[in-house]
Amino acid sequence: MKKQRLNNLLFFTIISIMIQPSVLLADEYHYINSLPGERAAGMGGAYIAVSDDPSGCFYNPAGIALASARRLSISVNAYNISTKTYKDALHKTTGEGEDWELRSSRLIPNFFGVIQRFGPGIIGFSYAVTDFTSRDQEQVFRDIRSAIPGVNIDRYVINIDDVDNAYNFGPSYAIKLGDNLSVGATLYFYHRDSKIIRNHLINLSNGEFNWENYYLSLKEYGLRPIIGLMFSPVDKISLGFTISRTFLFDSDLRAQATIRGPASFGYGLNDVKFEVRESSEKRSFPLETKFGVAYFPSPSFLLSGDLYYYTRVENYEPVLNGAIGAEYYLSPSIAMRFGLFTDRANTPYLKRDRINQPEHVDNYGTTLSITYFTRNSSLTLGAIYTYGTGEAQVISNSPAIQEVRIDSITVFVGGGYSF
Amino acid sequence: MKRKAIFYTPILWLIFNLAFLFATFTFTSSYASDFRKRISQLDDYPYRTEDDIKAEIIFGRELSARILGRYPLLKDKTLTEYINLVGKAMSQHAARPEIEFRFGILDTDTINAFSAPGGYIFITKGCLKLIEDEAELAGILGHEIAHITERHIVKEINLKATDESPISGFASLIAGATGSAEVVFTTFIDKAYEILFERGYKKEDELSSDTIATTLLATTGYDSSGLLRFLKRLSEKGHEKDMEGTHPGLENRIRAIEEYMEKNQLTGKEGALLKERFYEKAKAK
Amino acid sequence: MVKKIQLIIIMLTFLLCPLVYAEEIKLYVQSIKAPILSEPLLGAKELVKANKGEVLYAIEKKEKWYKVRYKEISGWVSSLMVDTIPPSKRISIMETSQEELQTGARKRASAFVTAAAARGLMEERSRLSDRYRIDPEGVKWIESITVSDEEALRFLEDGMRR
Repeated sequence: MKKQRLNNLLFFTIISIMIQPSVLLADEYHYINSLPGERAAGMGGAYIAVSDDPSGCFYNPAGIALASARRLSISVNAYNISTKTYKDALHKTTGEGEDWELRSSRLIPNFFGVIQRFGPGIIGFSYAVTDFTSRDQEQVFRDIRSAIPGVNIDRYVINIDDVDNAYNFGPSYAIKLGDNLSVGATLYFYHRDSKIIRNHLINLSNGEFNWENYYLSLKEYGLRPIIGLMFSPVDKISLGFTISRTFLFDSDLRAQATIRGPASFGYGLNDVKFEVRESSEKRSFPLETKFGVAYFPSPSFLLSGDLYYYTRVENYEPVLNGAIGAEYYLSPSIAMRFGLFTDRANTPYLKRDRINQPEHVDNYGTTLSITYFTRNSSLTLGAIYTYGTGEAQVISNSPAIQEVRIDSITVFVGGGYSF
Repeated sequence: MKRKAIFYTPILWLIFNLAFLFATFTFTSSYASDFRKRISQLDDYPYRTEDDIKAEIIFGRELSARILGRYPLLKDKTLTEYINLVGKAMSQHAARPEIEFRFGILDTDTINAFSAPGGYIFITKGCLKLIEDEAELAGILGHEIAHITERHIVKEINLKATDESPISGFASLIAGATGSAEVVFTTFIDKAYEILFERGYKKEDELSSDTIATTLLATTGYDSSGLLRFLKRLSEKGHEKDMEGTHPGLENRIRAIEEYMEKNQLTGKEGALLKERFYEKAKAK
Repeated sequence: MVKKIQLIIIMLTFLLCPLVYAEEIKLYVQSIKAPILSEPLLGAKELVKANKGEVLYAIEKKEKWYKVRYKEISGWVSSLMVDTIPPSKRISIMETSQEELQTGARKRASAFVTAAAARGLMEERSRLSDRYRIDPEGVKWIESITVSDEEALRFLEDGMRR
């Protein structure tokens, strides 16, 4: 619905790498755009059945009831660089293809959490950034083929300024219902602040020009309750289960397009099209069901595996994701962690002979981290590498399909402190 | 659409999960969930660096000065040496070789025994009067040794040396910690004093000290019912009120030790009483 | 569809593989002797005694007992007598205090400084109320009683021989 309304903004295109206009968010086609937490991030996010530290507030609030210290706080800073390459998105006049690339780099405190004994259970407060993208690019392409017969593009300038952040923060409470069963809940306040600014200037070989400027912004406010359950059926085995969903109570979308087309398309000398659209229609989010198993064979080794299921919502397909993680202590003061995870697209595979289809890229990630422990603190250094391939239709109103490749590296430093 | 594989129907997925949880529930047996503890957070680990142990000893010395401020010390060298011989033989069979255990006698008719972290143990003259043999004495000292080896006070008041390593400083900076785990000495001493003379130990700590004492009696070769017999005598003679109410109900303790001995097949098993030696060394006084 | 089933199978395999993993834990005897018994019961038959500092390999844990392997013998040892780190040497604060006096203020002496400051406070309070009375001399008297570990063990053996 929203997509159609925004599509109207594109009056026509000669050849705009635009940017599916519905793509307001840096990555709305994937559900795992960040792995918050110190220990969890190193284990590929396979943390549903572990969760016994402040990052449990995010992964499985029932787990924080099992934390060993009276009070624990952790915080993580992450630096991410990612590139998304659309192979042969443009074609040179000579016929060879030219790639189009979107780059993002960002340093952000992406998790903070503290938990403390309170009453019969454990109370927690946490802050998790589930999406963070920042693109600031200027690109110039020369001698590109255009959609108009006999006319080429001499120069194509694209300026990009995108920012997209999704924040979750709020309290958690968990309680043990027995030696091997605990329940917990987190109520996150959800806020998303996203902005896309694109400026396109196309100089044609016949002396005409096309200029397009888009400004899109989205602010969302909502609540995200997470309910968790954790229990151990037998010694050394832990099972975790969570259910969560984001509900918006306010959404504010603004879109603005300013276009000056070429004279041969009917534009007069002082003719600039200007259009503004606003919408307060609220997006729907999928119901997230997560299930995890962890095995603790010894105090220095643990393995865990998770499965995540996201339901179908609006135009998006249901998604099944999985993660596995391992933790091994080289000594009581040094631990290594390793993880693998999938982050699959919620869009269908692209079909031939259609236009403006959303891209479909399945991502696969691997994580590695090392932690150094002192008596009541821990310091973690880790990295997350995500790789994905798929298909997209990056040229508006064109049936051409491009191969897409995503590479993303996140380096994180985390600190934990117990009292 | 063809996409509707079984796991893609959310309700089925939910049922699958719940069924799995339910199935595993039926096999649920009760046990402590301590398997979660990682080697870096094993219970004693935060308290067992050399600095921690030094802090513990310093703390124990100061607390002992408070104990001796409450009850005067009985400065009988030969009797104190005897108590030390029995106590130090017991303590070497326990798991804290780094601690030098020291034993003293309090000059009071109150029937009690106390221990301070770091290895300081006191038994009252009144208690010695009620004891009938060396196995009982060893049992009482074993109970106090257990409070120290299990770090009951140390854990309850969370006594640690201050952490001044740069890593920790850095981590606390990142984690936004507001204060360090500095030993606020005097308040901690007050807290420990309250545990000894007013509040008492946690019930499970008392019971665990009883079973450890019984274990030590059995491994050293003493009659393993030494502590049990003493507690029974205390209970029969109605001395419970003389103990300042710092211990949980004697009946509970007696029953727990009996159960422990039964379970470990110690009931009726012979061990050394050393009644004569006890009379010769302690009762002559 | 096939892809999805493959994914599920792969995930399940990963989830199940931990079940076949096991690891041996090294335990060090902390007590002067640790009896290794035929069953996890104090009254069980003693198979052998391990000495302080020796390594036992834990095979299984059951409540307060470890099933261990020691010199080709497998039996049960009480968890009270072992630990995952080697037994520590005896730690004394006396020599450190000497060192304190000689080298002056060391950086890591915070506990000692705190104790000294606390001592002053405690002495002051002890004059105010009986509740806070202290007897540091008494502690020194107890510390002057010297009974060595060996003497105590000999005394115990003596008793057991009677």
